[in-house]
Amino acid sequence: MAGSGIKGMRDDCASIVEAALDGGAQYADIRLEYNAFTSVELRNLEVEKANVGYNYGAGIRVAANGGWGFSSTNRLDRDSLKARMGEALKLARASSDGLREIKLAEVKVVEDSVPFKGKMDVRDVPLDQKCSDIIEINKNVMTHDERVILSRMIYTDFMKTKVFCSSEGAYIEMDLPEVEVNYNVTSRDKGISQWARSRETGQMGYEFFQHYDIEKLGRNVVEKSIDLLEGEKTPGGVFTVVIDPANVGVFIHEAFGHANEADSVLQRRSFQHGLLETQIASEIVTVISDPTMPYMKGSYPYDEEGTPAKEFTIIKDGILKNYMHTRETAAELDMEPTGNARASDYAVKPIARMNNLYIESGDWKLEEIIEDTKYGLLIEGSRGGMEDPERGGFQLSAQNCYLIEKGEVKHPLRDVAMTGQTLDVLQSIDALADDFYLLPGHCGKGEPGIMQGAGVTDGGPHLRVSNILIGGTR
Amino acid sequence: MSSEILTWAEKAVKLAEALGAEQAEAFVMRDDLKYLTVELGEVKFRSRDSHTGMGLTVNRNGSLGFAYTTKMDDGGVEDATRDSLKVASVRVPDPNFKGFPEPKKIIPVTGAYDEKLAQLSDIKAVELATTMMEASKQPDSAIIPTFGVLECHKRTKAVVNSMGLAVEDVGTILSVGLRTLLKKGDRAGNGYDFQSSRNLDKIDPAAIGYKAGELAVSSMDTRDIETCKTTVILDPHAVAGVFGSVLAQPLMGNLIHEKRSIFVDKVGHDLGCEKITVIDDGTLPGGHNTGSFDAEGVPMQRKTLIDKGVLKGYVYDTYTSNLANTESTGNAVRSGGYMTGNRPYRNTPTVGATNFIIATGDSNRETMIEETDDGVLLTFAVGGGSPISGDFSTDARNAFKIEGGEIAYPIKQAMFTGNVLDILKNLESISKKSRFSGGLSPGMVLAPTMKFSQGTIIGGK
Repeated sequence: MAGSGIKGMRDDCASIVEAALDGGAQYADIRLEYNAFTSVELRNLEVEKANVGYNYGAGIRVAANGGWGFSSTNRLDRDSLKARMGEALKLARASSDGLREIKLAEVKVVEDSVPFKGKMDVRDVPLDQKCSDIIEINKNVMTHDERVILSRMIYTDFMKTKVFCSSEGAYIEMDLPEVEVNYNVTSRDKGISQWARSRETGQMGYEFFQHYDIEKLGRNVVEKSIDLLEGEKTPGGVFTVVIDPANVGVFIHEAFGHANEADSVLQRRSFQHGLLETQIASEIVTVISDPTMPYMKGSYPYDEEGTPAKEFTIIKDGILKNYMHTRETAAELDMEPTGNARASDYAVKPIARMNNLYIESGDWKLEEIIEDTKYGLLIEGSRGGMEDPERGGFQLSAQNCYLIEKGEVKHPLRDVAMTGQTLDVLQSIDALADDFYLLPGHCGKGEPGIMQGAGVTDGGPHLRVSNILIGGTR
Repeated sequence: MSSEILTWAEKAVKLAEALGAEQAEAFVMRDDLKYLTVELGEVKFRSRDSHTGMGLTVNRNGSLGFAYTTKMDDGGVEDATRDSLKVASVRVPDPNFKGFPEPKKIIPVTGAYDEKLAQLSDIKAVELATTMMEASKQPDSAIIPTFGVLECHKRTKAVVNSMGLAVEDVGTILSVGLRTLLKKGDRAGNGYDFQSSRNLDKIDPAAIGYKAGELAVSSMDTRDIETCKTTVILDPHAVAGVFGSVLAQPLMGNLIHEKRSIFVDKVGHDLGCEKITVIDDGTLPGGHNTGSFDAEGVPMQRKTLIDKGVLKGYVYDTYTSNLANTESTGNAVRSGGYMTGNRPYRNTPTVGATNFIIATGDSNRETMIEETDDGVLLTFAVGGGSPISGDFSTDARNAFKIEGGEIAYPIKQAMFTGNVLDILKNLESISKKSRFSGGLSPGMVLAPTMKFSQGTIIGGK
């Protein structure tokens, strides 16, 4: 069952990319995937929903005549794959006038097999055991406060087997595990309901529950929902804000990261076009991308073009140093490939994506930052955000908010949305705490209909920014 | 003769029954996709994909189980069927489950399938993209069509269940969109527009291109404004952005049941705004989400949900209609995560809007602007709000200041905030024309341009 046979198809894969070259292609690759997926959703102590799924298929990508063609299918017999390769080759040829060549930055041609390195393969744990384990945890979370009316706990796991084979001779097999728990708690008091959420993810097997304290995660979400019950509506206007790693993460991801993806830069859809080697942030800001961090949701050993993953610096002391590249964008901009080509599954082409992205910590204590703030907001937890990479704007919805007055954290507020111009905010960061946390997230990129999902983490320390526009509800 | 996908659905239901399910429901979809992107004025990437997947729900001893697969062969379907039964075994019996829907007479809908679209040739697709890009340069020859997408689907869906229901339907849809950039020295403006239609001839690529180009020109030289209460005009995309989350979502039967909606226990109530009428219509000829049946095989319907300001009812799938002691309104949808339209078999049905229509009025956009002495016009509104409280806080994109009946200048950054019940009380006029926009997933909002005598705009000054 492991990989359902896709690891035994090396010869088929090799002959298909070979046939593409024989047909006049400049380059071809094939990606196979078999993903066994489980999710269990608890509504209080009952299994409200459970899903098991298998995602199985192949995507073939061909460069010819200066254009790209792509074709995908979930029929993996040799004849179907050959026919799909022919289709991709035909589309590639017709995409362009043939006057140019697709440029691809050189990467080391790798032959490798990356086995599952965890302790307990999730496919070996029976579904009923997974259910009873999480019900036990949720029991303790629900009783943490009597105002809790609904505790939704969503457990998901997968084991994804992937194969990559290119016409340059690369052949990589990978078994990639993941376990995740999402908490969404609604509390109610005096006729008002409020909800809060959080999640934890680990690229590992079922030992996840020994590695992370999931009950504590749940209790923390309960406490945040209670704070919202007691929260007053937030005033609108321009504020100094102290934001927590969750919002730092969403900011660095949405407001900065998307516009740093080199395909957007090349397509002139990014405000970061032409800003390399310029001071775009205050001198205390350094931003790192690192897909090699163990267990993190955004980690991987090789990207979807077979490029080995590596850590690199994007902003160094406020100066923009790099973009996140695929092989093609790196070649177009005459830069080093960074291993950021990702695809949500076999059915779509790899594009430049984030992995684990963070702002480096500073040397303030969080308490010192608060003491140093006369009037402002402390913003915690995120309800997501949207980027506007073209104009360099962003919008973030926060979960919890507290008023800061004369250096002290006062009463809770609620319904907080922030908006701003990314470069203004980056320049206005004036204090970085010495703490550090990365939060897992699901990132979407693309156009309506062809949105691609990717697991990422993002974060950094608590930090302070002046002049953020808050859209309050008061 | 049964098609391939109907045959898989029938096979899976029979197999589930043979393995111990009392009842089963299979949803199978085949999606044939043609896709191209244009980048910096050139066709850059093309793909053709073909995918079939199945989602299977089983009932054993009153407990439901679900599994999906894209491995459409005997082994793959059998694995998924056995897994769905395992899932049922870990769930407690659900007393609210009263069975899968009985077959009902399916009334064919019009305008959901276009043979020309199904057969769209590579040459025609490139022609459409080229026309769109050329038109974008008309307002100013320096405009760059930065990124565009053309996406053409032919989707065949089948639903089969143990009650004897066996239905199949085919539909087409084409979506085309373009982003533009105009840069002159330090000054820059961005534009965007898109259209989607079930019918090839209803897509006007030149109009999309021109609108995207024009928006880039008019969005140059933005200025900050002060926070104010002022007249607010929302273009259709902005209407969908605001009202998708705070008007459509709170009418979904599941949120009503969970008491997570501002409209709980409000049927018959006057919302205090006689100008607003809202309809959900899965049978709308040529509508974006029009089909002859929903995600569990129930015929789609037209329902008036708010009639001249009076709340008339909610929408339901089979499960939530049982909870509310009523009938399904044909509003079962399956979302597919990030690829919402493309992988619906990955999920069990839930309640969703189909074609969510905000009824048109008798005004038009030009008059609304002319009759505004001081106000703000929003092209896009991003962010949404809470269906529980009705509060919204959206980022205004491509927004303009209106002064003395004319568009005065583009606004650098602003937010539009408020509460749905308050803002509807300030509804002054609605345009005669409307168009489809996003705002819901997978539902679409058919939205007019709307003018509100007063709304809160948070400015950046």
